[in-house]
Amino acid sequence: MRKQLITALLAMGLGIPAFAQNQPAPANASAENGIVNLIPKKFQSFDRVTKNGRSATIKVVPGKNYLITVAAKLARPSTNPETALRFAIQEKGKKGVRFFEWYKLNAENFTNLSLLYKAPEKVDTITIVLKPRFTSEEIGICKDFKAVEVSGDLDE
Amino acid sequence: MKDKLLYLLLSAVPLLPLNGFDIVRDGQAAASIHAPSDLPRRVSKAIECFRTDVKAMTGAEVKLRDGGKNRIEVILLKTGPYADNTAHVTFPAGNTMRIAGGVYALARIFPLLSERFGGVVRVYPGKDGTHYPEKKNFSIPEEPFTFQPVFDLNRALSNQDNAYLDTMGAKWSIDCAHNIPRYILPIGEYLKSGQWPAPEVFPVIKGKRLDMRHALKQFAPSYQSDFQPCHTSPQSVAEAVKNILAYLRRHPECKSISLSPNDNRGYCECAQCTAVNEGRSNVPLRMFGPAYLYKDHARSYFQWCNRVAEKVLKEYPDIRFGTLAYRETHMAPDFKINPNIVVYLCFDFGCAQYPDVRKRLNAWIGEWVKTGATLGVWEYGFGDSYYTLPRVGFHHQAEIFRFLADNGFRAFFGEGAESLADGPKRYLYMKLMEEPRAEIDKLLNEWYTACVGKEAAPYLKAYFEFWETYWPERASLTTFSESRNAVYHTMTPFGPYMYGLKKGDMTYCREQMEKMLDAAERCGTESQKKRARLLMESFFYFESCAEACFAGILPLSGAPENAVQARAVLRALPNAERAFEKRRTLLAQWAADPDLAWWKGIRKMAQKKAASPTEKALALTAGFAQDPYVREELRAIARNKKLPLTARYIANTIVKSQKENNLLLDNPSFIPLAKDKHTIVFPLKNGEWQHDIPLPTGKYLVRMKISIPGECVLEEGAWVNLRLQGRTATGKPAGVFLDSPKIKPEPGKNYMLYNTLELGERAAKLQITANLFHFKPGSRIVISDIAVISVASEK
Repeated sequence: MRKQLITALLAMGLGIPAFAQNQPAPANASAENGIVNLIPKKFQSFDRVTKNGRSATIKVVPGKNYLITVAAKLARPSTNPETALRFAIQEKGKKGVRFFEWYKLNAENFTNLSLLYKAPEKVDTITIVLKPRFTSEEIGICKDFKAVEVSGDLDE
Repeated sequence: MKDKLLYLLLSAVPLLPLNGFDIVRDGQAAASIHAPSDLPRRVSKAIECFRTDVKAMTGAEVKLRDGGKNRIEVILLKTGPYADNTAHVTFPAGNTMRIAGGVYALARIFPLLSERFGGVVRVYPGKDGTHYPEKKNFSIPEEPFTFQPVFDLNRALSNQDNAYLDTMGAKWSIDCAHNIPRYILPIGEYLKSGQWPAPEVFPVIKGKRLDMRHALKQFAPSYQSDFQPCHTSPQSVAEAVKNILAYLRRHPECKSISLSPNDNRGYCECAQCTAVNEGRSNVPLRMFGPAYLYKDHARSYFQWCNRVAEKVLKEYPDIRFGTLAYRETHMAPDFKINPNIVVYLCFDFGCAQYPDVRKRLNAWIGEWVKTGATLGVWEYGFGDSYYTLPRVGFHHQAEIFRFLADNGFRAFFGEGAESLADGPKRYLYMKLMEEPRAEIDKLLNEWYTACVGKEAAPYLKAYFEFWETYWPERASLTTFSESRNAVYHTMTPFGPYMYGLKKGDMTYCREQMEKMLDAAERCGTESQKKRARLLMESFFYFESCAEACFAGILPLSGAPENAVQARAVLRALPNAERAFEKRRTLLAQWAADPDLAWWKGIRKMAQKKAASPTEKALALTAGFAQDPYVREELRAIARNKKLPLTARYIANTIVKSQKENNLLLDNPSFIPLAKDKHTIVFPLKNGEWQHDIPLPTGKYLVRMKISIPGECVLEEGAWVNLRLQGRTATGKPAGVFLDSPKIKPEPGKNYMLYNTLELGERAAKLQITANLFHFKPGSRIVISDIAVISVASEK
């Protein structure tokens, strides 16, 4: 039956896209050098991140690796030595939130946060949360928030 | 002459009678053991252990009931379940040694005799684990003594080698496990019979009474987590009492009942429980936080424990109850607790190494002492089952045990696992439960000497001393310390604690261990040599762990903080991969070795199948991918066919996904300079290919690729380099020029040149010069990939 279906499809001039691993880029994602940033454009930078944090929801392919990065700093200097930011990921269909390492922030330089994340089985949507450890006075700035699928291609 | 004189003098001295009770004399058994035939198995095993020890030390076989002039009498005293720890050793007649005591006392006293008076040291569990000094005579001083361990109620460690722990005096007597479904709310029985207790026995969570019948899936199959009984409803007390009494009738041998809460959360928030918990007359000390995570449920819980205990004790007055001061129940209540209730205070000795935590711990223990409860500790002394460095603190361990003993603690349970790599840690737990005021340096020296021999011991001691100071002084500076206020430290393989290591630390440890092995191989016994080799391997394992996660390269934060560190990580990546592979090989080798079956920690670690930390470290370099040197290293990794494909894919993805902050691309006039390939045909005026780029003051990094085609003809002495110089607005030099090293080019090769320069106040432009000398006229080369990057690249 399957063979017949394939023959019929081929006869119609159609390929079978079923096993294609790379999902199409979402409409609002951005592409550069053949790499698609899955974070929607309007969430790729934030001028104001409060203690509540910010988040972006993206589609993922179960079992694939994703490189998630962001550059962050404090909008104003703070005397609080505990000011920090980390990634937290909510996986759709799963209980709880996965928390990752804290990165300390300062107001002088951007700190680069990166995370290699493997989408678990049966998870096709995740929400990446930029979770700060701020007091109510502290505000952060984030830029270059990216989530890219680790490509299975190698450039020469 | 001198020697002869000494010999004469010595032979003139008459042989003095030995002031001891002989067990073996001149290699012959001088005593036999006379014990009742119906001794409990625990005691007969201890007697067997003593006989084995004596034979291993002296070669003599101490017989049961006959042989030798001396008689060791064993008398088992009928005692209550909690008075069975005491043994009296007396010498009622010239040829009799009498040992009388309870079961646990007799089970320990025999191994203890060969340890204390024979020098036997049970270094590790397993075949080659015990050190037996060779001797012809073995006697016990004829001075009566009483043996009684200080932690008399419970002495236990988890993931244990039972034979070893029993010999060292283990006592599992006060159950404190999360056993609600066993004693309190037997969900399995409710399911079987279909008879469920009143709804009020279950907790109110988020405003709703838990309907267990319809929420079984959430808690199945163990029912040991995430829900607790309601602690204030009379029905809950009645149900618990009813079930405990039924259990005790079915199990008359049972000596203790665990009233410990289930693991994690699920405490009742009904109006009554809330009122009880909010009705404190004092402000209790919060040992663990944060407060929103561990709300205070101690009053309702311990009030419930008191009520249950009071009713059960009426029928079974000797029963003790195990309970936990853990998470939501850790704060001491403001009322007295029944002394038959043993409260296990749950904490991690490692966290108590921080002065702020220690200060709180002392005050917390003080508050618990005031409750009148019998106290114990549930400790989280995990080692190589979770950590990838030796997690030891022997002196600290001893100091805490002494402090606990001074505060009247009587029970101990340590989570963790048997470990070879953690040296004497588990041995000390057992010794210190017995005698918490023992001299720790003496115990350690005995252990080191027994383990690898006298000559090798100082080096092993130096190695472990390094790790003893490592945790409070170095690991505490990393983000590992952030979990110090939790019940126990966050324990993960390759955790942040690895980054307290400095360059040279592992070299120092290696030197100590190599000297240790060398000395043991030269002077040790066969067993000592074996142990020395295994300890050396265990060092290799930790060394591989450190190398695999770039410890000693990365700063305390565990993440590269600048491009230089990112490059160092990337350069070390192939070595890290090899180290990870070595670690995996060692784990597999140990896990398959039947002689090391007792080393449960490492088996548990092997089962974890921890992922290589190289991928994570690689991802961490992504933030510096705009730096051309970092990009080159990343490209090199992507091209390195010896590396795992995933690492290569990640490196390639980083290069492609992280934009290079090339300032040339910000200025439309210079975009072609950055993006185009520029073909140079020789001869070239002055041998220089030059461009001036207007830039503000600051430090810049410049990159340029020079490709020499295969057909290019070069003269003898041809060279290329990249020169940078600041220029004023009118084109005059503003500061000295800086040259990159000269490169002797070869046809068919590409060269990536880098140079940096700081533009001062006078400079308005950055002049980039490719110096290209001694190329034959008519030759062509290609210049491309030009980038100018601000070193402070935040803009």
